Amino acid sequence: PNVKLVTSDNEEFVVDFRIAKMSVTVSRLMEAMNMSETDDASLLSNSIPLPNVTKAVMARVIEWCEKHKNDEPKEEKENDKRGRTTHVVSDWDKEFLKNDEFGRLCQLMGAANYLEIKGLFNDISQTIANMIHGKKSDEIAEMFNIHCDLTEAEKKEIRKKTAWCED
Amino acid sequence: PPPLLLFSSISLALPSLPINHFSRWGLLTIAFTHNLFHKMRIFNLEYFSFAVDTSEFIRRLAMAFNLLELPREIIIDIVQRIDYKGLLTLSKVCWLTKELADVELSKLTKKHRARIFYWSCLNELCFETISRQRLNIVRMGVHDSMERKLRAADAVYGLLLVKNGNWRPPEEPVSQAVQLLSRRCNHLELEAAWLSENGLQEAIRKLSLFDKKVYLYTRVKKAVANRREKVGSLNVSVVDNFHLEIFHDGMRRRNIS
Repeated sequence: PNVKLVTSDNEEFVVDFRIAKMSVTVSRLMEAMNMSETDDASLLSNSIPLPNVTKAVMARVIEWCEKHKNDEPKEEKENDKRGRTTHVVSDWDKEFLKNDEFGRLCQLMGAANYLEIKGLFNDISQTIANMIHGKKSDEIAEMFNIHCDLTEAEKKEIRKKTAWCED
Repeated sequence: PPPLLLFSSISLALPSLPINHFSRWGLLTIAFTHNLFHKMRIFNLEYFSFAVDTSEFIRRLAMAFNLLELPREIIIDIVQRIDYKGLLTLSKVCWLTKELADVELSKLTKKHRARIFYWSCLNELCFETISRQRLNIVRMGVHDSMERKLRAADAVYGLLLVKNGNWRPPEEPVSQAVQLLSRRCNHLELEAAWLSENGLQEAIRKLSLFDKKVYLYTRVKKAVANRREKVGSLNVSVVDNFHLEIFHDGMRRRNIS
């Protein structure tokens, strides 16, 4: 069975029921609209509006879901030995995300967050974290277009505190 | 891609756009001015598909460039994946990243099993070791210079100041304790200090003004044994052997090592 998803720019995507169910948001909406896998009429007569997702982003989300539709649920390791959240981004996912500019990653991450697709969200969040690892503060600021609003006194204080591991 | 190719791609794409707020040429000018072609791969026409109107288009372009435009919970999720050194670097980027990194740093030092750094004389190499091995407690001599103690207090969660054979009580122990706890350090055990009743009152007054949770262990010269009181959110406890603890709920953990 297929489910119709309608994006903010009125583009209709017809996706497999299993793919639609990968989104917690879509699952809840389908439940609210009494749409079930065994009831073809309910699937045909309804479409799920997704006002926070555009056509371009939706196409990417569906591409990711197609690849991962048969995956076993993956538990995120909450704490590694350093006490940090970790998520292993698979080679396919790295390849999938590697050509995305940061702005595009943000849009995709926003959509994954709204649609509640945990795997995709974790992949992007970890990818952005990996972009930060090993960078100097000015490189991070430039990469993410962040304007430094710290005062000279605050900068001096921070430098003093982190002088022992100066980047 | 060559600018001419970009220009022609954009020109081809623009007629399909419902432009409400800017002229096509205005949009082009904006795009050129901000050198967006390179950064956003604007030549990829897919980007134009979300341009319901140009104000939305411009809003999305602006959003796309700044990490801080993401919802706070998303930024927090990213920051939670950053390692210790990365967090220290993030704290230098801007006020918001500093705020988020500080929260994570403080969680990290609490979560981590105590890893003590024993060194009687802290030098540059020692501080590098502290950083590299993510040590969060330093044990050093109470006689060490205040400058070194302050530096250690900036680097770790806990500071254990112990006496050695030739020890002498530190001068102005309250002032030292307050100065050290005003740094990154939250936990201080000051083995060889003896506070007077006045010193104790001063310590309570100053530590209660701190905008963070602290733990101080030291000794008092004279005090009512088994004295327990609460000053604001601070607990003050003197046991019968004149050991004194000043702490917030949840911070009482003597011998963190």
